[in-house]
Parts: sequence; C-alpha cells; structure tokens
Amino acid sequence: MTDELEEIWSLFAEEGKEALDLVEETLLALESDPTHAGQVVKLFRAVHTFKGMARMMGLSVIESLAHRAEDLVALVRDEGVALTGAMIDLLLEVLDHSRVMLDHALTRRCDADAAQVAGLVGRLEAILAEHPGTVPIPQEPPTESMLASVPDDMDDFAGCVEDETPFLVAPVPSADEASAVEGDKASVSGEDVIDPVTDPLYVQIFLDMAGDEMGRLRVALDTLADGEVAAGVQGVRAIADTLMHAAGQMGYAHLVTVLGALVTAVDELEDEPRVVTLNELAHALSEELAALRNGGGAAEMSSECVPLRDGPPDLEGGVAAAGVPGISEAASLFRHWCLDRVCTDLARLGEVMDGLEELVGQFLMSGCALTGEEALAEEAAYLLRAIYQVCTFFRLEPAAHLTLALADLYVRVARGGMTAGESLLNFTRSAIAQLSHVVEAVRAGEAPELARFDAMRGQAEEMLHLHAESRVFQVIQAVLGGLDMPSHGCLPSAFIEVMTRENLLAVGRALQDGKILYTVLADLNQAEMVGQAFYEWSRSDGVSLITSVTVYQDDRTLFNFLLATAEPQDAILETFAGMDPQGHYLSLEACVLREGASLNKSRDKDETVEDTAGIHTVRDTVRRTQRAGASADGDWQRVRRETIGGFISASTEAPTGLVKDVGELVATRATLHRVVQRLAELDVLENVPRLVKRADGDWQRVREELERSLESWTGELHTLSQVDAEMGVALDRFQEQALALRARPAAEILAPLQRLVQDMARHQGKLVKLEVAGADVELDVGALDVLSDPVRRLVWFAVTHSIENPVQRQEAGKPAVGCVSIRMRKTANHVRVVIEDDGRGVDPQAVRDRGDVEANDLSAISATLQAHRGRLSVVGEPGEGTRFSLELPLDTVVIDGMVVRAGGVHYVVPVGAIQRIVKPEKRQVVRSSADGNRSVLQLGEELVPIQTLVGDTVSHVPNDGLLLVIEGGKRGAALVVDELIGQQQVLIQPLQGYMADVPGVSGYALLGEGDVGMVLDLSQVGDWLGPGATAYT
Amino acid sequence: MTKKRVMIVDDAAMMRLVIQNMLSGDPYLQMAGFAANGREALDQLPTVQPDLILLDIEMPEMDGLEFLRHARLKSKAKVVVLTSVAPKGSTKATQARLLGADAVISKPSGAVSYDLAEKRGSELRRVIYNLLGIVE
Repeated sequence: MTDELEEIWSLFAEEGKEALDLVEETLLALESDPTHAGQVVKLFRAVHTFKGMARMMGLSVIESLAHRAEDLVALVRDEGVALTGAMIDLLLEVLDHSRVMLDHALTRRCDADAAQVAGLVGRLEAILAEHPGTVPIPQEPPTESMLASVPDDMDDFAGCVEDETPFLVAPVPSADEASAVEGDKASVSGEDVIDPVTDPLYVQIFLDMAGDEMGRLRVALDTLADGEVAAGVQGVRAIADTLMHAAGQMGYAHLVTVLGALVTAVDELEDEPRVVTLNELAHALSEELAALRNGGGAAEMSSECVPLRDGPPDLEGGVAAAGVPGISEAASLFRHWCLDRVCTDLARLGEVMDGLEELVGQFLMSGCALTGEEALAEEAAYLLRAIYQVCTFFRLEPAAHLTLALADLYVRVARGGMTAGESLLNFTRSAIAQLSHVVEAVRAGEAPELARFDAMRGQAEEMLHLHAESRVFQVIQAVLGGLDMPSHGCLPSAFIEVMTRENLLAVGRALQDGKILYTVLADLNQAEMVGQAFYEWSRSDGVSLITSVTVYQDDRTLFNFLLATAEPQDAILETFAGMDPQGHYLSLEACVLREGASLNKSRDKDETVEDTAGIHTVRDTVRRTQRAGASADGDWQRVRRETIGGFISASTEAPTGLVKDVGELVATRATLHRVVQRLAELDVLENVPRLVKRADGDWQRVREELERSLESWTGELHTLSQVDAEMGVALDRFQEQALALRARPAAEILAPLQRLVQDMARHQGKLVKLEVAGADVELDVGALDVLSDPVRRLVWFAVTHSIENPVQRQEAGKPAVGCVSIRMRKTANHVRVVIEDDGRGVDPQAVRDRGDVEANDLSAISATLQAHRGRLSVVGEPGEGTRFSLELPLDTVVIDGMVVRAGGVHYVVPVGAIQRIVKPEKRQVVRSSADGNRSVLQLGEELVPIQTLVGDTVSHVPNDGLLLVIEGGKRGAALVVDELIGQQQVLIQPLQGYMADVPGVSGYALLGEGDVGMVLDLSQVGDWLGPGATAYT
Repeated sequence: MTKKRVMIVDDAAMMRLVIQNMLSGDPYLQMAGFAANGREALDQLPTVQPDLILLDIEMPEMDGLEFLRHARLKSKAKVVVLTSVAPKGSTKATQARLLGADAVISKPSGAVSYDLAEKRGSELRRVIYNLLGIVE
C-alpha cells in the first residue's frame, strides 16, 4: 500500500498541477474573450478535475474551495450568467491560493487550514447568492461521501432521495426506517429531464450503428451467396445479436421481432440453404430502419409496445415450451396449478375413502381392531383443507364451506373422537363427485352449479354437532399423566380436575427451570406449629406452590399440595423432620416419570360418558377405546420424551419450552372452548324473541335484559381477542422451538470431511490439510442435507483437480502440503460455504468445455443447488487455486408479509423489503431509454423499474394504482398493485410442479378465512424484469 | 465463473490508479482495460469486452454521458457512473440514470488513506457485486 500511495501522491502532484495550469490558461484566454464557450467548458472541467482529485486525497479544505469555484463556473456554463472581470479576478485568486495549498499538501501530506480559505469561499458564495435557485448551496461541507449515507441494505437505491412529492399513503411500520432516507428539497424539475425515448443523440447512435451493421450484413449475405455457409452464418448471427441487443435496449420491440426471425432463419440455414428468406428478412430490416430514420419509428417508441410473448403460456406442453415464465404470468399459472392440485387431491381423497371403506368392511367381518384408520383420516382432513383453500381462492363459498365441515369431521375421526362410518364415507364420495364437476366447470370457464352444496353442508354440520366434544382435558391428562408417584400410581385425578390455566403454566415453568414436582399430604389442622412452619416453607424462595386439593380421610381433613422445587427429596425430608419430628403430619411424595404406562384407565370414563349420549353403537365404543389407548400412548411417549429432557438438563431448553407452550396452548384452548360455549348459550337470535315474548309489553325490562345480554356478549368478545393474542404469542414461541429442534451444527457434515481428505490424499500421493471454519454454525437439518453432498464433491474436486503433488508444489515454490479451506457462514436468510484451495487452480470453463465426468459433476451440483434456490459460483485462475462459493437461501418459514391485491389475486410481499409505498403522480412515471423502453418510477434522481404483476411486462400504471417500491437481490422494482389488504404473518408453503419454476414466487400462503396468496421471492427481482429489460437481468 | 472484466474510464490517471487499487486482489474481478476518455473507451470496447464499466462523467473528447449511450447499445456491460459532482440535485447524475446507467455513485472521498480505502472499496465492491450477481 505504501508504494501505491506514493505513486498516487506523485500522480496527484503531476495531474493536480496540470489541472491548475489548465485553469490558468483558460482564465487568461477568457480575460480577453469572456464569452468563449469552449474555454468555459474547459475551465469547468479543469476545476472539476482538481476538485475531484482533492476529494479523493481526502483534502477536504482544498476541495471545498475548488467546489465553490466549480459552482461559479457552472453558473456561467449552464445558466447563461455572464462572466465578469471581477469573477475572473476572483477565480485567479482562487487559483493562486490553490497552488500554494497544493504545494503545502504535497510536502506536508496534509490538508490546508479551513481558516485559510474561508475568505475566498465567502466571496464565491456571495456571487452564487446573487443567482439564487441556480446552484444549491449545501449546508454541509461537501466532503462526506454520499455512499456513506446510504443505509447498508439499500445500495441499489444509492441516491434515493425523497423529493417534495407526497408519497406515503399507508403506514408500513417495519419499512419506516428503510424509507427514511432524508434528502434535501432540491428536486429535479421536469424540464431538466431528458425525454429518454426521443433522446436524439441516442437514436442517432443507434441508427449509425445499425447502418454499419447493415453494411456488414450485406457482406455476410454475399459470403453466403458465394457458398461459404459456415462463415456467412456466423457473420449473420453475430450481426443479428449485436443489433438485437441494441434494439432491445432502445425498446424497438418490432425490430427485435424481425431480428429474431432473422436468427431463426439463419439457424435453419445450416440444414437447408434458403438465402432467399434471409434476403427478404434483410430487406424488411432495412425498411424498418428506414422508417425509424424518417421518424416513422414513433410508433415503436410509443407506449404501444408489442408484447414479447403472446397469449397465455402453453400449459398442455408444460412450461418448457413457453420458456421460463415471467412474474406477470404467475397469476394465471397459479390458477391452473390450483385446479390441477385440486384434481390430484380429489383423486387421492377417493383412494383414501377406498382405504377407509376396506377397514370398515374388515371390522364388520372380523370384529378385529383396526389399524391405520387415523392415518387415513388425517390424510383425508389434510386433503379436504387443501381443497377448501382452492375453493376459497376461486370464490366458491358453498363448496368451500362443505369441504371445511368435512375436514372437521375427519379430524375427529383421526383423533378417535368419532368413527368413519359408511354414511360418512358415502357422503364424502358424493361430495367428491360434486367438487369434480365444479373443477371441470371452472376449468372450462363456466359458472359452476353450487346450489347443492348448501344442503350438503347442512348435513355435514349435523354430523359434526353430534360428535362435538371438548378434548381439552384429554390433552391436559397427557401432559400431567406423564407424572407418576411410586406408591400412588398416577397423579391424583383430583389435581387434574382442579388444574387451572395458571396452574398449568406454573407446571410448565417449573419443568423448564429444572425443578422437580412433589406432592405433600399435610394435616395442618392438628398441629398449628407444623402448619405454620409448613406454610412458611411453602412460601419461601425456591419453592413454588402450584395448587392444592382437599382430601377427606376418615374424620380428618387433609390437604394435598402440588409444589415444585429444585431441592432433592432427601433435603426436603430433612426440612420436614425439623418441622414435624415424628412424621405424623407431613408426608412427601416425589412425582417421577412414569415408565410406559397407558392412560387407558382415565380414558375409559370419558368414553362411557360419551356413550350415554346414545350416538354410538357398541362397535364404535370398542374401536374407539382401542384407538384411544393407542393414541394416548403416542401422546404419552411424546410428552415423556420432552419431560425427561427437562429433568435431565435445564440447559436444553427447547424441549421443556415445548411442554410449557403446549400447556399454554392447551389452557388457552380451554378458555376458547368456554367462551364459545358461553357465546352459544347467549344465542342472541333466540334470546331476543324470547325476551320480547316474556316481557309482555314491558319494554323497559326488555331493554335492560337486552343490555345485559349484549354486555356479556361484548365481554366474551373481549376475552376472545385476548385468547387470540395469547395464542399468537404461544404459536410464535412454538414455531421458534420447533425450528430450534431441527437445528444441527454444520460439524455434522464438515467433520467427516477430514477423514475423506486424508484418505484421498493418501490415494493420490498428495499432502493436503483441510481447514474448517464455521463448524459451529447451526443450520436446519434440511439445509444441511442439501449442502452435504455438494460440499463433499467440491472438496473432492479441489483435492483431485487443483492440489498438486508435493513435487509439483515444490517446483512451483509452494509448501509441500496443500491446503483446502472451508468456511461456512450464516446470514439472516442465507448460508454460504466457500471452499478454497491453494493448488494449481481449475478453470471451470475449461472443465465445462471438456464435457467430461467432472463437468457433469459441477453442473449437477449447480442444478441441485438451483433446485433449492441456491447457487454455485466457481472462480479458478491458473496458478491461484480454485474458489467455490455455494449459497443457499434459508427457508424463513414464517414471514411478516404485506398482503396486496393485483388483478384479483392476492400476493404477499415480505414487509422488510418494502422501501416505500407511492401513489405516483403522472410526471413521476417516465420511460427510460436503453432499457427496453420500460416504464420507470422517478423518485428524486432515483429511477426504479416498474413491474406489473399481471399482464404485460412493459408496464403501465393505472390512474389510481399504487406502487410498492421493493428492494431485493440484485436491485429494486416498483410493483403495481390495486389495493393494500394489510400486514400479517404468513407461513410459506412450497409450490410444486411448474409453479416451482416461476421466478419470483417462493411459495403460497394461507391468509386466513381460506384465502390463498402467492408469496413473492424478492431475491429474484432481477429475473422478473422480463425479456424486455435486458439491462436489468 | 471466470473473473469479471472491469474497465475504468477516467481522464485522471490518479483516479484510475486509486480505483484500480481499491479493487485489486478481488477474487471475482480483474482489470481488463483503462481509458482516459469516452472516445478511447469506445475504441477499446470490442477488444476489452468488459462485464463492467466504471465511468467518469466529465472528460475531454467524449464525455461520460455520450459514451454511456454508445456503451448501452454496443456492449452488454453494466455501467456504474462514478461522479464527483454531488449527486443530490445533480442533473448529470439523473441524466446518467435515465440514459441507462446501472448505478450512479459518488467517487469515494478521502480514499487514499488506508482504512478509508478499505471501507470505500468495499462499498464500491458491494454495488459491483450486486450488479454482476456475484455472491461472496
């Protein structure tokens, strides 16, 4: 760096002086002719150059003086202000001063003193102030790099400055900071802006270039006519490529089409020489160009751009036939995808019904227990929910309601709450048939017949009511049933019955803190002292009293306390011995984990109770009891695993946290259940006529009663909203913990590589060491799975193809031991692995050109990563080693999304990516040249390409349209949307099949009430901008 | 992926050197050409075949804006305009964007002090990586 710095200083000395000499020369020339425009331009450039160099050297005082001088010259050059003798004298003074400061800077390597230039700067500013509004006078010294003021994640919006145009029409909380790039009020007025489409210089350059290329085309065609096919074809193709790029940049879509035809024709030429066609096309091309030259190209340049791809994509032939679809086709593809998916789901649902029917048949024949019914019912419920979403998406409400009701029924079957009888199966089959008709109608574009669905829904709901029952207590038992007492068996059921929501939370907290649960049976009425001592102990730190139940034993009234403490049993017994030496009044029992116990006992009671409702047959009861035992065992195993985790080590917080959250969810669910029941009892619809009837004209009383009734109603609503909030919090944590459970250290895939590298080195007669960084990075097990194989293969690749053997290495002046290093790094949404070696380097292009196994290997790895939206890049320089860089996006399963509507379809835009929301004024939407004539949004000096989500990529903004300025991947875009629906958290679900290939869509999400939306993947914004915008892809 | 080819167009040799230093040693980029004005750069385009052009605006012979028009039509390179005109309120910067520059950024200031050079260099690099789709 020191040498380079010296070189820079000496260049600065040389060029700085040159620039100042030029300033002097031009000033002297202007003294004799102040109106010489050429000299003014030269003067400006010289001052400007000197200023730029001073800035680059960090000499801000010198720069500030030059900057003001430049502003003064700019007044003359750009604003038509007359150059006076006084100005020239002042500039000469500035020049002299600058020379002195330059010399000083060159010898002392430091800036001048600000006080030295203050006088001159003041005089320059005084002149500038006489011409207000022409050159803005900055408040800050212009030394600060503008780059420094650009927020970290906004480099694509460098210079994105707010002008005075009002833009924010909706609050976007998390985007606030991002959009808060404060700028000054200096905006570019409309007159200053070049009309890009008609920028004459641009058009002229294009026409000149096209003229040259046409000349070459004629030569190439002659070559072809002479029979030199290969050379001719190559020539024509090169010319067409060049012109096509330029025409695309200019937005001459029609010309691009003609050129495309030319390329096609020349491609076919190799099979069958048809020079005639080529000549015809060349002629057409000349005519197009002539039209442009004569200004007839205005049509090309107007907003009526020819869409680059006509009609809907060829769905029959798959997307491959139509090429990679653009984001604007995503909506129509999504519709088709939904229909296809619902067909698949309906077909599968039919199969599930067959399976269930077979099970029912088996039972009727043999009376044996059934296995597999829950799994099938679970799948049926899942399929029905999927069908429900699609129905809602297509606004087929009656069908949607029916499927939802059916899904509910199958959920109950899956949980053993009811059985899949023949009537349910038959009913489902007729629903499948009806739904199939509907799908066909929608696909054919007809209005489907929906009338029957309402009646069917009524039937389904009737079945549902018959089986409605709360399962809350079963789940509570599953949690608490994991506890056992050596002498007693299970935790007394009395505890379970009195357990409140808070108690459950306390149990969860205790487990999370690694505490042990005990029960203490205490006789507190007989010995006051003991009672007092026990009471104090139970209130002491480290002991949490959870709840107590009263126990009547003979004539005594005892209390059974459930409490939690970290103290071991021995220590507590010792404490108790102090309070109650004879051990008459206090008896302690630890709650330990029960080994493999079944919960049947407690279940049977519930089942019998349910039977008294007289709904089920004996057959049902038998099957259900068996099932209940089985599923309870499943629950139990799960709970037990998690509970054990909590007991063994308080540091593994995820599992106990899960128990806690389950507890919380269960309790919240219980609250919800109670509220729903009370609401049902409050049935306003029935209540009102009854009240009215009973009141018998006493309206005052009716009014009071109604008010009371409505107050309760409102109270319940309030509780409901609390439940909503609580469930949200619990679910958030639940999700976090579920993800944490899937996290694994990268060491799992990196550690085995040491062995692999040593083995390979031995086999290949090389010496290689492997350096690993980032083995402690934790990744989702899915991401590790994806990376495992590529990383292994690339390490193999580096060792085999890049690292030399020790002799070769020594000859090349390298240490005998080669080095391969792996660095793994995780960012907020990506994981990156860099594999580098210090071997001879592999030129990936050369490997690719060889087309051998290794090449296939590389492209296979690349394909694997791409399939997971990741990518592989390879840099190889001969002698410098190879560097592989793998990148994989981490699936953020839940995102904060802004739901928007465009063209009748909902989209979810990650909130973090929204820079601002703009309701553009007409003058803010301009067309940019050299960019496929695309519409761009002008925000201050920043130009953001406008992207529609529906229809033509060469976009227009409807009058009342909103623009969402988003940032992502390579650059930003302004999305045209019809409406902002609102902000919500969404769970991204993957899209399969052809939808998976649509760039810019990362999945779909359920938006509540059955609506579905496509989630936009903004890392691919660059790819959306479509074929017309080559400059951006 | 082979290294991306970068062309620096600036009339001051000092600027060319500073920018070159900033990007030297980059694993993804290589210096492929230098030009002192738009005319020279235009002549070199077919041989240099850059993937990225770092372009000054104020230059003799052919200025940056005129060269930009040519470059947009005759090359597929990304063009980053480096300007020492304060971009806020600068007509030229806006013009450059309207004429198709992929980015307009300030010439780094104080770039020759070592720390700053690192900092500015990495910011410039970030813009370049973004444009070229280079993933670190």
